[in-house]
Parts: sequence; structure tokens; C-alpha cells
Amino acid sequence: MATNYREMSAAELLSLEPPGWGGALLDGLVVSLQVALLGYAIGIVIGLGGATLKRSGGPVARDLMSVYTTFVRAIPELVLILLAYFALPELLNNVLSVVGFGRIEINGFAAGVLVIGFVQGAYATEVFRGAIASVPVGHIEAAHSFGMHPLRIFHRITIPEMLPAAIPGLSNLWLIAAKDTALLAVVGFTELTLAARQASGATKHYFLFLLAAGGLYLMVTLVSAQLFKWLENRVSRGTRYA
Amino acid sequence: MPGRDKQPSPVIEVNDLHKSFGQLEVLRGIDLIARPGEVISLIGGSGSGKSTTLRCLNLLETPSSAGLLKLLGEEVHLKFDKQGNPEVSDRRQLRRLRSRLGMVFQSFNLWPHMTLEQNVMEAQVQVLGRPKNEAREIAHHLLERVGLTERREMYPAYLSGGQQQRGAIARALAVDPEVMLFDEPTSALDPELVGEVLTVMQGLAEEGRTMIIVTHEMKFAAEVADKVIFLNQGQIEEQGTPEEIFQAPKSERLKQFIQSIN
Repeated sequence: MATNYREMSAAELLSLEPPGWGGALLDGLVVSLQVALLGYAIGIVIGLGGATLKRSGGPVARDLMSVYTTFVRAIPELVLILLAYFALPELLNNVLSVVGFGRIEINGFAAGVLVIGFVQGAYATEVFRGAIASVPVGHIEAAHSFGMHPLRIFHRITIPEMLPAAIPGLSNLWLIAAKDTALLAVVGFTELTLAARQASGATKHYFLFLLAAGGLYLMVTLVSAQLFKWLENRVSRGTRYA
Repeated sequence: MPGRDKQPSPVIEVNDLHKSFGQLEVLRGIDLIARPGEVISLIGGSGSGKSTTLRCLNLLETPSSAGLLKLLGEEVHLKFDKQGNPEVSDRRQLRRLRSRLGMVFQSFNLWPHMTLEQNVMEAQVQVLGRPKNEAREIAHHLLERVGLTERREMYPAYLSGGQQQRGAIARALAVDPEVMLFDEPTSALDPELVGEVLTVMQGLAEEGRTMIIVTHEMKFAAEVADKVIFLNQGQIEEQGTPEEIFQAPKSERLKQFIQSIN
């Protein structure tokens, strides 16, 4: 029983219930956002650690960090995704079989989170490094003069003080993370872009569904921009003329 | 020596303190003793090493070597890392000692993301572990004392330099320090704001606080200090009571210095 998509209106095609494809698009959006959020969170953790290493780690740590950032800058993310999806499981399973463990699989979700986290980590490192450098040494010295523990200084002074400088960069990174999830379509992972392609392929309404996907990405961008604006105002409360 | 026992034991005792930045030796054997309740002024031209001396006392600068470095009755030991840079052997001891010293900086260094009140509460809560309510009460009391009660909800960027520095003094007092260190506290201020900060400091001296002050305010040093130390090229050139230093300077350098500032 083939559905006759040709005679359906745009509203019917986009409706959340089958035969409309709206529900599939929204499911794809949710999955995309999940991958982006997790990858972004990993990237922020890597970035904070990486920035600290770059600023105060030993020479070995600093060299490792620049190898890492060079790699990420040099290799297209699409290649990294293909590597994570096809090559990494093979490598891991070879190692695991030697040690006598069973096989594991890396699904599209995990590959996406891994790669986005890895890539974002490199860029976040630079964002945080610059932002931390903007905190005056004297403010850190003042905390030291009270005998505050270095970790507490990082948490109570360095991080909140550098955030106004970091938020614009972090906002950009988030938007990149959200859009990078579209690359997962190539490994057959049904996120928003692949969902839109499937919908348009099945219905032959390419324009409608790809535009709808674009619209959803745009909405994510607009909402995120508002959130980051609010966040920037919040962390810049002590700053004049912010 | 029975006579010596009557003097209270020093809160800071430094012997043969040296500090180099690369090839440049900025401190060339400083001896300094501060006893409880004493107010000591460090004076000298720019590059004489007075600020570096002060910053060595709470180890914001690590001395290159020291014959003795005794803070609050505890000896602080130095060690050297692989590159030969000096560092403090016991970081925990250092943090403990620092929490009993108060430092006031030339550029105030209030934390800009916190209100004045939060600035004064921070070390109380994060270092001494005081409950927030208690810390807030103490902050109110201290801010009232330095005349900033109405400004306590404001962020530092919205305060004048004099207000910021008075706030920074309140912040340093909040941990009940046994010694207050002042590093040119009025040098970054507009002339008309210097007085309000000096008044607060004078009040502290009068209540018997131990203070070590690096300053260019000679009149203030003469009025408030028990002892004035004149540094020149990383060494103590002359020291004595304010009268001895300002009215009867012995060394040529000090005479020149006093003339140059008058």
C-alpha cells in the first residue's frame, strides 16, 4: 500500500503522525542535539584541562597538546568520523581479542560524540587559554595571599573571571557542534540531516524536507544565541560597559 | 640573655634574604625582624627592592636563598626544582601561614566578578571555612569600619580607587591576620583619594596591628611607623626610628633620597 505523497499538502507531509514525516524529523533533531550536547560537554572538559596544561604543564604535556591541536586542525571532521566509525572498532577489537575480551561495536551515536568531543576539545583549549590569559595575575596572587588552594582558586576565581572572555568563543563552538552532527549522516546514523534525506527520498519532496531541516537548524541557532546572550550578561555582571 | 626574653618573639624574622630574576640580583642580603604590634615602613627609590622584599615575606616571590625565613614562629624551607628554580618545600605549610597574613596590593586586586561583600567573605568561607552567615556579618562590620556600608552590594568596577582599596583592606582584615603587608597601597590612587586610605591604615596602626608597609608617603611613614627601613640597590642602607631616618640621615644615599622627595 504505497502512500501517494504526490497529492499531499506540505502540512500533511510535515505532520507528526505517519504518513507525515514531521515526527521523524523531530526525532532526528533530538538525536542531533543529544550528540552535540554530549560532544560539547566533553570538549569543554578537554578544553579546560588542555588550557591548563598549555599554560602550566611541563614541556612534554605542551608538545602533546600541540600535536593534538595540529591533528584536529589538519584532518577533516568527516575523515575523523569515518575513522571513529569504521577503523576505531577494528583497532579496539584487535586489542580486545588479544587480551581475551569479546567484541565491541561503536555505533553512530558514540562515534559522533567521540569525534565532536575530540574536535571541540582542541578548539575549546584555545578559547580557554586565551580567556585565562586575560585574567590579571594580581587577582590570582590576591587569592594565593589568603592561602587558597590552587584548585579552589581555579574554581572560584579563574573560571568565573575568564568566562566573559570565553563565552563568545564557546557560543561559536556550540553552533559548530550542533551543525557537525549532520556529518553523521554518512555513516547511516539517523540524525536530523539523514532523517530529512530519507523523508525527501521517500516522498520526492526534496525542497520541502531539506528546507524544513534547515529551518530546524536555524531555530536551534536562534534559541542558542539567546541563551548565550543571557549567559554572557550573567557572567559579566561585574564588568562595566559590558 | 635575660633582657631579650622580655621582647615578644618576632612574627617575621628574615636573615640574609636574596632574590634574583635571571642575572639580575634585586635583593642582596636583607635582614628584617618584625615584632608584634610593630609598624615598619620600607622606603627607597624605584628598583631598590622594597616591593620584592615585601612579596618575599608571604612568598608571592620565592627567595633565591635565605639564611633564615621564619614566619609566625615557623621556619619556611626552600628547595630547588630541576631547572634550579627555588620553591617552597611544604606547600600546605605555606597556605596555612599565608592564611594568617593579610596582603594589600598597589592595584587593589579585588575580584571583579564578586560584589564588595562577596570579596570580603570569600577567604573567610573558602579558606577558614566560616559559615556564610558569620562571614557576612564580619564583612558588614569591616565594611562599615572602612566606610563602605552603602557600597557593599556593588561590583569593584563601579567603585573609585580609594573605595576599592579600602574594600581590599577590609578583605585582608577579614581573616584576622597577624601581620598586614601593604605594597604601595596608595601609589595607584588619585591624589585626592590617598587620604581616605591612609586614615584607615592609621586606625589599624593605632589599634596595635603589626604592619609592614612599602610606601612613598613619607609623611605618613614618619607619623605612623615605629621603624623605617631604607633600601638601596637590594640592600638595607639604613634603618631606625622615623626621627633618625628623616631628621638625621647618616648615609649619603638616604640624604639624597630624602632631598629628592621633598
